[in-house]
Amino acid sequence: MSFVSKVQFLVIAVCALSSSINAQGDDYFEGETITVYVGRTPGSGADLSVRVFVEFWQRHIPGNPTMIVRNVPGGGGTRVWNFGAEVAANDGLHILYSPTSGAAAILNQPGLRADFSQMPYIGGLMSPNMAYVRTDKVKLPSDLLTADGLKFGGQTPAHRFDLLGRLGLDAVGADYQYATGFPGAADVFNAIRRGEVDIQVASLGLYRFSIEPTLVKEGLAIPLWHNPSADPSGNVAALAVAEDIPSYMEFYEDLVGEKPSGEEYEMYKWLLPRVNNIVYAALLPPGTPDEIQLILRQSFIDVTEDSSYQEEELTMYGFNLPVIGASEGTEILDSLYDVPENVTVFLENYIDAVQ
Amino acid sequence: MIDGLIAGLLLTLSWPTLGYLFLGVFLGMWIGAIPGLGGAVGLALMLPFTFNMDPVPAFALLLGMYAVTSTSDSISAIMLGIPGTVASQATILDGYPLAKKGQAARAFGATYTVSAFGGVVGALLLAVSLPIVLPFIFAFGVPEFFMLSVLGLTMVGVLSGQSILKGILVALLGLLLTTVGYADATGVPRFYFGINYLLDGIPIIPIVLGLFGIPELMELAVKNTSIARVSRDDSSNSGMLRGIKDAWIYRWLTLRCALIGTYVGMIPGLGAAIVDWISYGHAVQSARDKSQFGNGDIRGVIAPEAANNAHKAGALIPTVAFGIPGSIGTAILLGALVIKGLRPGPDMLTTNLSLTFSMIWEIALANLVAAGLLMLLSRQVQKVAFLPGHLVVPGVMVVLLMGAWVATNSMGDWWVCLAMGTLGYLMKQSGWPRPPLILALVLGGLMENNLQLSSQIYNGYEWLFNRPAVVAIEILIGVTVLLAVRGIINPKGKNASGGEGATRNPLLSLALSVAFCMVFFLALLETLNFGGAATSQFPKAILTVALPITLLLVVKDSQASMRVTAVAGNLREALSQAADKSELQPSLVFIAYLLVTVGITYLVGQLVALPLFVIAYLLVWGGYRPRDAAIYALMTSFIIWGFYGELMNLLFHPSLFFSG
Repeated sequence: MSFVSKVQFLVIAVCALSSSINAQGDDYFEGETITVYVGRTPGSGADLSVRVFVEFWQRHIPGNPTMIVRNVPGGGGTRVWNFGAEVAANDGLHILYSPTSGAAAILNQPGLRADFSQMPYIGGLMSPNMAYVRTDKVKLPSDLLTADGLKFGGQTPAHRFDLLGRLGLDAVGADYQYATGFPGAADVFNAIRRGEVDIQVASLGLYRFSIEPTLVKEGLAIPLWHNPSADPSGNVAALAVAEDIPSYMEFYEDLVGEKPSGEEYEMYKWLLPRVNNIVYAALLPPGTPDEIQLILRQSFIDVTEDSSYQEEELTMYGFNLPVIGASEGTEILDSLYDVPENVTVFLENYIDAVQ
Repeated sequence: MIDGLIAGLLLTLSWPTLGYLFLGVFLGMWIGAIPGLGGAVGLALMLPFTFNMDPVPAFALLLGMYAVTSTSDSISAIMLGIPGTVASQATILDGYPLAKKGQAARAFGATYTVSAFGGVVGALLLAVSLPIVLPFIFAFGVPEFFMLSVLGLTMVGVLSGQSILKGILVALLGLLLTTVGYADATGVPRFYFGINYLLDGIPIIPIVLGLFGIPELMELAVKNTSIARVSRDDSSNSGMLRGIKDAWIYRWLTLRCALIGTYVGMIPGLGAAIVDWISYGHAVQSARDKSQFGNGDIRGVIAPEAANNAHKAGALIPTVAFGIPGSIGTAILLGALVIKGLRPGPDMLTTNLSLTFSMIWEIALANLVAAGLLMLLSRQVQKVAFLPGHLVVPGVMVVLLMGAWVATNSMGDWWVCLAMGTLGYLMKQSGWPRPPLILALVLGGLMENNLQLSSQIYNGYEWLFNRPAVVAIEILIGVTVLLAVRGIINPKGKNASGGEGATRNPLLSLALSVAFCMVFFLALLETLNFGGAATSQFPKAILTVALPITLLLVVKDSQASMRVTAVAGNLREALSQAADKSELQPSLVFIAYLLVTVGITYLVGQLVALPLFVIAYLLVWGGYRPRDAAIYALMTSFIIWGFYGELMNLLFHPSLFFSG
């Protein structure tokens, strides 16, 4: 976040706190119903995560409003954001909480009309992810560069797991074949079990609950790296929740013997915060009053600090999802609209090469 | 093992688990009966209520609900020709004709008996197979999935009645429709014409509801006939007991289809929609006398209904044992397991074996309870078949439109539903079979996806010849095609299946042939804009086959039209006769009613537009009194607001004049 943005942010916060927080704050939501919109179909993973979060959220908003979840799927996940930007009222009673479309914004994919930089950020959660490989071809990570016939399984070329996985493998100079188009992460996992593909980037949740107790325990797979957290300025930090798996930077150094570098690595690092940090973002329609933003931001943080919610997360994912606060989230969303031309050209060519 | 079995039973029968199971069954019966909803939606709705429950009662509620939606979904399939869920698509082919013959109760008797049987068989197989099924599941790779989807597509021959060429063409249209939206392998959007709604592809529910539901409602409206075309007296020998006897007579078919359902369910990725058609195709292929299929053959109801309940138990095997969900429904159940802190995998077969067995008992018990309850209810439900059409049409139309709306809560769902309704009407009137379109829609995505993945993973197409399972399926495909060809060469007699495709109206059929030709041609032009080969390969392959067949059909229909014109004396008279025969004018007026309703919805939202449709229909079309229309509309409003709005939290189309 630039200095000017930080000052603006502080001014807004102070003004909001001093003016009308009491007039409109504590009782603003009393007796009201807040609708939370999720851009996925009922029962999908994102839908379940949001529903569980909302279950706790309504207890932390002053006035204890009722919260309901509505599904607005479509447009490759972009319709919910368009709905929030163009249709939903900006009275604080309408919250968009859904997987972000960072890649869609960067790649200017069709369908996305919403401008995330105009939509106030409430809070967000990161969904850590990692790469693993079958051991019949790669017994140790050091075998990666000499293994023959490696196949990397993905979902679609612009998917963050596909992009980060390919860039990560290309940066270290691995020789592999790319097979994409699996309907979901579980399908790639099945293909790995069947031995049809060898490498997958998967969520840490899938790893903890399905991959680690089966493939890894049976000696059929080993973890390679986890994708770390990063900010738009390029500062990278390993994730505590995945401390048993090396971060990509550690993996690179162990494998190549030097600090990560090169075009693919730079692109990997550039993409990390923009497509991988905020997986679930709660945004408000443009123009929602500042004091309401503050209340909702605080309540979002309160949920993530609620021990019963944290227990629920541990049960669901096996770890607590890292929280992306307001300043960091706002900075990341703003950075989606400041894409250097070389990045655009690289990514377009990188994706087009598959087609 | 035995200890786990008994402990599981005791857990299931304990209080409050049993109460939650009954509650789940009750809710599942309703959710399955309402077109457009289904098990996955029901699970998503119920899941938040289980957050604070213990695992056993929570799964009693969820599984009780989930297991029985594919039993009660047959109500609308049989009574209205509208599948309640995707699992009952094939049931309508013979279920609805049975209702028209006044034999709805017979169809219900058979359906509920075989559904309960299928559900219990599936649960038993689930119990037996859990420890040994892993090699079976992993024997199916992407090449086998591709070949299985091709095998499924060969059912087009069975589903096309007497119009195999048209059946193939309709299936090709279905395949083409599955290529709309983002291509999985490349992420490039195809055939979306700048319309965001199309980016994720066309949802199947509005297509099915429109294609099958609207033409039937149109017919009821135009003819103002009851669903049953015979009097109650004529249907007195067609009660539920006869249906139960039918289930016994065709017990081996029931058993085979239950096995098909369970084993297809075990293979992740092959959903209930597919098993429905596979089992129906099996029933037709294995029958000596095929002549009544499509006209109300009870075997056409027994086969899919036995399979779809068994499928759900089968689908639970990879979910529970390996954490591999094979459908949206099982993915939600997997989510429920995780939320409860349970780990799918070996633990479920060791530490948590009693819980796993309690889930099996719950499925078995839920199926039995639902069958019993639905049999009791059906005595009342089947009376709807004898109500005047005008009383049935508006209410069902509202439910149908809201069912379509459930897909993505977007006006696009309604446009698709109406477009498919119009197409369905034209196809029905001109002898074009509709089921192949749905079959292709179900299979198209699987086909393209697995074909692309197979060629990427196995570097080309050698897998077509060097994988034993693929070769075995190819032999099966060969046999199926040979049987279909034999049916074409010898279409008369007991070997010919009836139903869809039997009606002829050459002039209308010619119009459709020409329209298909134009659609395929325009699609071919559009594919030229697709950049990479991976994006355009599949649609181009479809169109390469489709265009010559369409041209052939245009020629054939032109010849038939000339003959009809010669008989009529001149073209104007022939057109007039064709329009009269298909009741074109009133049907177009009905479509106009729906278009106006859509237009009003843009202005004021569903809460106002749909009750207005009900009032307009009853007053103007039906000739009912204003008071009756007002009461009917009021009830409609209450259902839309209460059920769809408050209970399901559906997002309605925003009104320009008020918020809601």
